Amino acid sequence: MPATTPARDQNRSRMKPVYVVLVFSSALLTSVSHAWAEGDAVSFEKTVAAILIKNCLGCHNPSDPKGTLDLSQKQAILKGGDSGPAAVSGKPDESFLIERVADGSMPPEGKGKRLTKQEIETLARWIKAGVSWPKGRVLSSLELTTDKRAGADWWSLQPIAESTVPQVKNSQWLETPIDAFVLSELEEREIQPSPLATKRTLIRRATLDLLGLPPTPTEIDRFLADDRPDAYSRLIDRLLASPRYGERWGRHWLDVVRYTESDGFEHDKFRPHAWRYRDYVIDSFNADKPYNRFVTEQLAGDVLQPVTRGGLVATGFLVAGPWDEVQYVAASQTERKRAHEEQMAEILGTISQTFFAMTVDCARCHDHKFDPFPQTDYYSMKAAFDGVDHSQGRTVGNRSILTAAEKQQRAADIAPVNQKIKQLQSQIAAIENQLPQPATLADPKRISESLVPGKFDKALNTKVNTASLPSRSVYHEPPFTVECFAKLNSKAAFNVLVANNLKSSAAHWEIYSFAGEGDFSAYLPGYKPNTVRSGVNITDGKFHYLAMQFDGKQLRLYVDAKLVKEETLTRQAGTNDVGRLYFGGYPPHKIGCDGVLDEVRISRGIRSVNGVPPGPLAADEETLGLWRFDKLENNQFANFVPAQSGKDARQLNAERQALSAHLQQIQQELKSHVIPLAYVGYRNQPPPTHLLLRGDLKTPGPEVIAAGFSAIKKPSPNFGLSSKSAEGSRRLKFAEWATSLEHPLTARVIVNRVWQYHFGKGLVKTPSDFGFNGGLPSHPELLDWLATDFVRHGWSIKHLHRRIMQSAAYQQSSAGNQRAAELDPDNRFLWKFSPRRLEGETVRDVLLAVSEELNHQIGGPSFQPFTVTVFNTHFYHLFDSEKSQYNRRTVYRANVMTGRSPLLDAFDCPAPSISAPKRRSTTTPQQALALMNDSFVLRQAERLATRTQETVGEDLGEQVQHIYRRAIGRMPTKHEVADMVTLIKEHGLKTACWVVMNSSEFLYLK
Amino acid sequence: MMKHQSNSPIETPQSFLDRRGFLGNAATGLGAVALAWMLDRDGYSRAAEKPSSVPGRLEGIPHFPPKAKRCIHIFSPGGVSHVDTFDYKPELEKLDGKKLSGKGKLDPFFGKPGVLRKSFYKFKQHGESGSWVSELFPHLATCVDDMTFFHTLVTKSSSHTPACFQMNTGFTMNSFPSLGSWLSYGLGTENNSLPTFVVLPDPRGLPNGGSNNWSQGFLPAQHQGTAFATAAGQQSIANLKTPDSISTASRNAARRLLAKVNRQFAGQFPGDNELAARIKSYELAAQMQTSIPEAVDFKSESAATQNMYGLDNEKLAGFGKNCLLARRLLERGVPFVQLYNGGALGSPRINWDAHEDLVRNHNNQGMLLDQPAAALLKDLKQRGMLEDTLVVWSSEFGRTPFTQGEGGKGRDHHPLAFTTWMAGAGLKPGYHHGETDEVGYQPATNPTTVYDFHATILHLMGIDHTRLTYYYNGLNRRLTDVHGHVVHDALA
Repeated sequence: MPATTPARDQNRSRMKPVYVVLVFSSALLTSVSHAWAEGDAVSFEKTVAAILIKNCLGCHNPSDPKGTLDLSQKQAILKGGDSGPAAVSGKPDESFLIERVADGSMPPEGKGKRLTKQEIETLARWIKAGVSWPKGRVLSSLELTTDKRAGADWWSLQPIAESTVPQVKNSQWLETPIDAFVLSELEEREIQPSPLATKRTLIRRATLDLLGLPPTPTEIDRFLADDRPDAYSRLIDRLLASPRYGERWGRHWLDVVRYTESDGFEHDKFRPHAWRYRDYVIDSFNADKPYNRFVTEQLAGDVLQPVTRGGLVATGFLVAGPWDEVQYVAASQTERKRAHEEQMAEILGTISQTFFAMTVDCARCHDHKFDPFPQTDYYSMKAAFDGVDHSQGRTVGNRSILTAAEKQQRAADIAPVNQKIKQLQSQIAAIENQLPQPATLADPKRISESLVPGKFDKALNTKVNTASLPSRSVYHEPPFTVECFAKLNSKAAFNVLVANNLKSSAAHWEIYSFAGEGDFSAYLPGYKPNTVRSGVNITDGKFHYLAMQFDGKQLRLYVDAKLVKEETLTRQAGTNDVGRLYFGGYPPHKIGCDGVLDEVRISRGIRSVNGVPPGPLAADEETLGLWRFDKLENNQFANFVPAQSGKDARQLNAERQALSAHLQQIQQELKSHVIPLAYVGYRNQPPPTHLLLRGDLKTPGPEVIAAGFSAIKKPSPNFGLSSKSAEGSRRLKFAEWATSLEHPLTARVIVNRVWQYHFGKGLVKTPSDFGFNGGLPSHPELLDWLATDFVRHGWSIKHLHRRIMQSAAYQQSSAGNQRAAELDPDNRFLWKFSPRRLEGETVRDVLLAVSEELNHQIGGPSFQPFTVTVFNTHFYHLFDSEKSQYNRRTVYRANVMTGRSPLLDAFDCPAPSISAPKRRSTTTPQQALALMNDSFVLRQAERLATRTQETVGEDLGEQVQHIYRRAIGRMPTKHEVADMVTLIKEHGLKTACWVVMNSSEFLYLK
Repeated sequence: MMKHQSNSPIETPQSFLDRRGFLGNAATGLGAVALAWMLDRDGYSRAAEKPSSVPGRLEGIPHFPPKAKRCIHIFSPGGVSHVDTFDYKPELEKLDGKKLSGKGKLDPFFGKPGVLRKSFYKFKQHGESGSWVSELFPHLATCVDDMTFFHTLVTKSSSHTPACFQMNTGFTMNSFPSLGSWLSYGLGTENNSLPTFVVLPDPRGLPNGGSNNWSQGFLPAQHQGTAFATAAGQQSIANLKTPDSISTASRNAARRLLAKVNRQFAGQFPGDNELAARIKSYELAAQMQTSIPEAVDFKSESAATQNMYGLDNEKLAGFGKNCLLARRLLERGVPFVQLYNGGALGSPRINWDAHEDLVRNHNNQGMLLDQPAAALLKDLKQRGMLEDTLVVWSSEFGRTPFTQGEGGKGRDHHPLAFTTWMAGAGLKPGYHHGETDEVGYQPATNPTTVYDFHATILHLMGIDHTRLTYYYNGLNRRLTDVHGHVVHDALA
């Protein structure tokens, strides 16, 4: 043992009394020590391992051992930490481990409870017997649940159990096996369930629940009249077959997956092709797509063979959240990487919460604080999805959703069309090459200021305007010569005189004066050096005759016919894209020219420069273009080059026009072969994924490969992949793992979500959190029974609806019961159906349905009740319109982040871009104001009044009846009729409609 | 197998706490206006729920006696240059025109570090505290003895919107609850007929990220910032006004019948407080219809007061009105008002994003901010309100001490160190916390994170930032994430 320090001596003296206890109990030790000597692995796990894991490993683990003491394995324990060995084999009295737990200094206050006497003795006996340890066993704090955190033994990570349906006393109440589970809990608490609700209540409840719309009076009457024993089952079947069902339940899913139709962040740009994912979700619900398939498609539908359009669109899920385009504006690498890591965390958080109700994203910087996810789990999940991105650079992630076969077909269809287009284009170009092209003035509104006195006659005032024309390849094919006259006023900025093609083209050339010095210069990015400067200032407010000769190698600059610079250039790689020829500036970069430009001439070959021309430049055989800027005709400056072929210009122009018209027609035809796009982002093969220590980009840790969650043993989290595996195969493996029949979470989580939407509350109250901080299931056996039944019935959501809705629990009345209310005020054990307020979308949809204004159009691009202005960011200005296109169901409203509706907001519609696994139901004055005064609401009241009059005429009593039947599905009482009639007489029918549409009964499902 | 399992010994408090259950027990607790105002069916998600003297206030809040009862945040988006305003760096004058070296790789947003540039403005010491302020702020300079400066703020992102989100919500992502939402959630309000969290956008336009800057995130809807429209002829908030086509008599009669109908319906569900709260919410709505127009009407303000805020100056009147309105809202019990001195990025510049020409940009922005903000401080002081009001000023980051590009006249974004100030309750007046290095590039002492900044604001409002939590998807979320230390040195 190392020499004891004074501090340790102090400890020792402090702990003496305990020491005595240990000595006292050592008599016991000999009698049981043989159990350890035999190395009994089972008892080791149940005793020593459990004690260490639950009480010590939280701090004394290999990743960050407090006091450098690691208690995860035998050698480390014997080696010990800062204070010396933790255990000395055979000598519990000399072992620090015992000393510290016995004196209560470990675990420290706030980190855990003191060990019991029994536990201390167990450890002491184990040390006494020789610190036996199963070979290779390494303990982890994530293995076992403690009162601070969940371990791998946490309930939701255990296999789904086959539950037996319990026996109950009041078996008459039972409608389905679900009820036995519910009733068994109620009977245990001596709570009576509620009787079945009336048929009138049931049809309203079921219709609002499954379709998000109210039943019509006819539907109600029909159901009431249907006395077949299976009338209610038939009702459910009818509702599940309605396309309205997918719109309603698809919206629930969109809540969970944080579906947004704009980017958020700085620009909040609208995503015009995001709606395809929304339609995919709605269609999937309507088609009762097996949930395992639904999950797989959203994670990896783009690589799931055979690839379908649906599968491609489904992966819009991955990128349904916000995207920061500005990360690509940044030159800062720090900023780009930061933004990318945040984006990955957003995507991984959504995946782990949506499908598994786990927050693996909380293990990004360190092991999860509450659930058994080591930091490696986050990064191995990241490795599975590291190839997913919203964009490629700034190229937004709208991608073709054509399948390979469709692409082939399309290519075959359009090949001849494209061929024809090319042919026409080259014919037109050939004509244009023979035609002298005039230059068009950029801003026709400033004609009067654009023409000023020049060197000869008029000239272009480049301070206020520019001119340009389509360029031609002959303008950049050396050898060539460019000349002009120019008068420049200032050298503060660049003054571009003539610029040919875009700067990105290797065929770009420009002549200009350099900012600062004002010297005549040339720029040719297709050559090296790309800049040739004369050093001669030409910005003195006087006209100069300027020329550039270029033979492909030698470039010469002349000012007033004097050679001022000669330079040898070498051609660089690059393509010669032909664009436009610009005079007096370079508009693509908003570079101007403070001065006047006159007499531009481009010539084939090297035209010798012999003195300053005394008069206007002339056109000859070598002249390719000559613009004198003397006169504007139809906003154009003439080109004085003579036509080179025998035909005259008028004839050529006519030919060109005919060809152009033909071209336009064919291009129109191409449009019918439009490529359907969807916002699904991009996939790239990523570099190896590294764990980041403390989540910090500056400290990468070991390489990690794609895998499942380590706490789940079955299905195996090992996908057998490497860092070279194709990114698509990683996602596919992950999806296979997620939808394995053995997976403990996937089925439980979706079953709980569906239950929650039916009852207003899940069996687990935290639908996206089945971890330590979440709620425990109120009916665990029922949850497992439902999950098992669900998977057995082909992961069918519609089957699950039928199961749940046919239960007596679901069909209960919502009326109160004094005794039950006292015992279980929260109705956690389901002794009644809890009434609940409709969600925001449903409020709006029901208003439209009742006023008969609802437009039932299914799917397609979202309606956009706003105008957009762009001032760097996109601003969405809402408007209210009575037009039918804006009266579609709310699920089709463009779900943009900063274009939220005050009416929907007031009814707790969640912000797009963050997951809302559960809707709130708040009551606020803003909500009252919205229903009181919102022009949309008032209009629906008015329309209901009009429809009522049209339907029943002027009898006030009948009007009231009609409104009640239509809006809340029942007949009014005598008193209600009397009150309403009085109101109508004084303030009109629409006021009565307003009252009903503001009433709680209208807004509540009971 | 799971019902009485031993491996999950506890249920976290929030998973079983149920508001409705509690309310059911709280007798006819509905008398308390609070319940109607804040009622949230998902009560379990709040840490604890008991009526307190202030409607909607969380139990246990304040965690300790608050220094400030209300707070104003003046936000100057775009990135205010600290070395040209409040962080005086004489060394920069000597190094003017030189490359910055010895600070590791320079990695500014646009990737073109130019040369060190001395301040574009002259600095002078002001007040008894001798605080250095540049000539850009002649009015604010007279208030320095009431201000507390934080010179070493550090933020995560060099991109505007993530940085704005962090300053407002603690996170760089969209839709996290903002500071005002957290305060609304924690503190409630004494005046139910005004919103708890009001935003007064710059009259020239909303900032980038728009309403995401005052999002309630995962908190209940009523904690979203209410942005007042301040243009003439517009309703302050949506749906406030009863349409002209509806007569008062008609609306009153309709409301009376509605109340009756709703009472009857609620009667079928005894103990359902949500239904009772709906009835109450209509009364509060009616009160709001008079209290908001009253608050935005400056009739009762003297000409002297109005002129102090610059309302007699066409250029200053926009932001000046907002400053005056902020004071009036605070007086009427609104606990948190956020004022914007700047709109979105774009051209022409209407915020502090001085890449191209710092002088032209900051001259204009500074003029707009200076007099009205100083007037607000002075007005609060003369009314005795500064004693229990916290005024906070910040941008989302500072600007580089070097130019953007070699010959540039502007400066790039700078998240590594920048200055903010606070004034009012509980602070050491005239105190300067933290120092940047000789050129203002990074903290030399006491780096202060945005989390620390938020923790300090909450602390002054009587809230322990580690205990203002809200359960959302797996965690008890906080404004300060898992970080943050109160800057005690700056407190009185």
